[in-house]
Amino acid sequence: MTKLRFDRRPGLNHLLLLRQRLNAVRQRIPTRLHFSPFRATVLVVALAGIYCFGLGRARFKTTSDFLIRQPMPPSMAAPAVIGPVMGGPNLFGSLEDGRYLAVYLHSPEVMGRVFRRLLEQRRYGRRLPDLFTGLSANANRDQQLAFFRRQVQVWPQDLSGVIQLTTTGLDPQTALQLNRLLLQEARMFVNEMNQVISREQLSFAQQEVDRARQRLDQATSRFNAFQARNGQLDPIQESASTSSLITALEGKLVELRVEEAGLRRQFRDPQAPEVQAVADQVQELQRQIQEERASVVNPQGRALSSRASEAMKLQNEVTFATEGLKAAMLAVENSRMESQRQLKFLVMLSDPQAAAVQDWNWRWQAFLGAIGGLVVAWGLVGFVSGVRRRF
Amino acid sequence: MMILDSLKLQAQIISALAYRNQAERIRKSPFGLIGLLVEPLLFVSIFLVVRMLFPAATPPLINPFLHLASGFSLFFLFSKIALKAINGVERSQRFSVLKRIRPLDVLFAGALVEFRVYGACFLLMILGVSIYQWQFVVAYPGSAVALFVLVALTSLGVGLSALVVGHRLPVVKIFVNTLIARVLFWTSGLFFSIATIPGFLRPFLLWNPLLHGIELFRKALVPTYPIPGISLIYLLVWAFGSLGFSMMVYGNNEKLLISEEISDV
Amino acid sequence: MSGLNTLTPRTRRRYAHHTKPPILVSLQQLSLRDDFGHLLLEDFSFRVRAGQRWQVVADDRRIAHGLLNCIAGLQQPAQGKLVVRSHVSWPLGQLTGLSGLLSCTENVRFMGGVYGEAGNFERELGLIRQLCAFDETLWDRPFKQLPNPAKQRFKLALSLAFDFDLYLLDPMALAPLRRQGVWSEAWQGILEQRLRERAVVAIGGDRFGIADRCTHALVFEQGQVLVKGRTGHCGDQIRSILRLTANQRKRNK
Repeated sequence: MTKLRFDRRPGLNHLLLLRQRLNAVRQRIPTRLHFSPFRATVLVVALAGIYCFGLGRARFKTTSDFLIRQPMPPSMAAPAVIGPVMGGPNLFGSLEDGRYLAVYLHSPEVMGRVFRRLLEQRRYGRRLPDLFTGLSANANRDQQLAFFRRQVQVWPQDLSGVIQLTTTGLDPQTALQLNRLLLQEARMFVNEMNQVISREQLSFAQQEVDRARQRLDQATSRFNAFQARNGQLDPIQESASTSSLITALEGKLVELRVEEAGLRRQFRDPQAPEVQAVADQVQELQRQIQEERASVVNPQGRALSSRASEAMKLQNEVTFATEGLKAAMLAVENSRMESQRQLKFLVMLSDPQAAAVQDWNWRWQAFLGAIGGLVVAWGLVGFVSGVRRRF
Repeated sequence: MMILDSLKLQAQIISALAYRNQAERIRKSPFGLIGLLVEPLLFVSIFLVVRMLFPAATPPLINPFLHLASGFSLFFLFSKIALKAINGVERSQRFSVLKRIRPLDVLFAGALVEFRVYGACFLLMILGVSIYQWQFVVAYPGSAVALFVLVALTSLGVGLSALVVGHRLPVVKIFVNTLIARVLFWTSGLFFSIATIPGFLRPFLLWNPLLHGIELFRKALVPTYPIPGISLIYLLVWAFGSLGFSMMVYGNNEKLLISEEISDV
Repeated sequence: MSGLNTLTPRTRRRYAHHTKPPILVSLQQLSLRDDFGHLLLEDFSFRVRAGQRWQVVADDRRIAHGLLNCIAGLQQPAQGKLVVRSHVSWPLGQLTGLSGLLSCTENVRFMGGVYGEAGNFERELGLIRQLCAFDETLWDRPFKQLPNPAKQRFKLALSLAFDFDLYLLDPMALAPLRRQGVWSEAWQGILEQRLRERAVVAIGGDRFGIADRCTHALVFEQGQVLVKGRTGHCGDQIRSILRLTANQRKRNK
């Protein structure tokens, strides 16, 4: 054994002492048990094999397949050339919904509702002799969430639009129960999605109806107030009747003028009483016509024109508000029908079943992963030891 | 302590070999240092012109120049390092007298030179685009550098693995050589993005680790760049797995790293 | 005396805890064959410790050269094992691996990166410039364009400029310097420094004062070890073998 020499460099003496003690211990161990890379490799492979194929707890997977579908509207019922091949809007809709569902089913809310129940029943607890599989009893919420996400896989299939839900459990019943609970959550999600959308749509349409009703009420009350102020039922009609009166008077005026002209031709004396009588009637009629015309437009008079135009304006507002209300009510009805049409349904293609045999994949993956890690470690250690031998 | 000392020595030797390799290449090139950078720049420019003449049907997910530049830089980096590693150390290059230099050091030095050349080339392209757009176009520079290094490690690992396995099974060497030189050029995402590939084709393309490296690199440039199915873990497994495997098989058997071809020198 | 002061700083750090001079090179049960497969040496074991300066003398030069090449790792033994635990130089004058495209300065820089302490090469470059005494124009010209005597001189200077734990010297390699008339005090100085401070395995006779500085001798006769030990005890055997080889050379001429 090489004699050790103490060095003034700090720390080196401790290392030298440690090395001396390790050497002493090593000399007491029989040679056949001494460390060698080959023995270490065999040991690691053996341990990995024992754990992966022996001690490791069995895992069970349950898979279910479903589709999120909405009924096709009549206009889309005609088959297209590539429609059946590409699946049309339903395929892409299902894929899109599948992706949303994947995010939803991995959310902390779902974990809280679904997984906590199973955790409380210690379905995923750690148990001897396998201390690695399962969730430790004092795991915090983030660890629980991470663990939960590893047990659930949601895969929307690109080509078919089918969504595959796979759950893992440490016994077949747990995997099955988790799958069923998640399917319930998925249905609730789809229903809630439908309800939320239709509720939102309806509430918006209803708000429009309320606004239209309010507008109609305001227009009607303004129109009624106007009528009450002016003491007339219908200034438009009154204006129309005044116009016909004026027209009638003008007609009469024309007749009287014709008669006057005839009488003037008949009687040489223009002051003749017969001519004067008719002339007086003509004058009186003219004066009356002028009076009637003036009172229609005079603001101090009846002011029928301005009142008629204002009345028309108010009446138009009432008509418009009525039409608006009708349209809003029609929209509510259409929205209700549309949301019925857009309802989505979760269609089960394959129900979850309890696994009859355990899943062997994870065992092989872990074992080969251990060997892969060994290869990398071997390579790294070999490289470093090669470097160490450099002078 | 001794390991650190030895690692320092190893780094020193590799650096010296890289310096020599680079200096020789500069002397051989008619344009000197610029000549080293011309090749990838030329490729990118040609394909950019082609892209402009035949614009894509869908709007670009990333600046077209950056798309091509990132793809070509990483592809050339990968193929040059891997092909150099596959072909081993030529007998004429053996530093048989200089015992401190081992064949693995020569291969590492070659990889380092390629890394420097293509890194510099890509940096120039980034600088050009940043000046043109008046903003720095790399969102996550740290990730970009790390991915560049990872692709270089992957190529070294793949090349060395093919070399050491190829000593027993020459068909492996020929296969990997052909794969890298011909197939990877079309399937590594140089001209396309994985998001634009139909879903049923993706699983086949996603076996290619270089595609993962290039797409992740593009995402480091533009965070909104979509990368469905791309995995950093997969790239890491390839990088460390292939390097570890090649180191394990090589051990200290330097004969495995020497090319079996007889040089005319 | 631990012999640690005859080691390079890096190797000294590695053997810091040793009390005896560490073994730099160990040949175990070595067998050597020539290029035609004839056995030159069989079952030969040999160790070089730090601080030892060995003179290897043999009636058959192939044995001495073969041994030197084995230690340098340039020749594979037919049997046996070589264990190297130090920084060993290449045989003097057998340097290859320089780049013809690079200049002398660049080649020194490369060698400095490989063999220099912490990658520095300035000190070695200064020493090499002093030893070579080239015209300035030659330093920046590509190495392959240098005349052969200049290349030879440059390679010899490189062999002595860098610091090794163990030098492998064939004094015949230095003879061209004498013939060219460039053997200067600088060359003598560096040679003496290496002989004084480091371990050496030198082959052949007493040239350039090497044999005088050797502490140990290894003498072969007809493929067998005649004597192995301190030079004080082997003087006669060394002289008789050297006389034999000198006569052989005269006969060959």
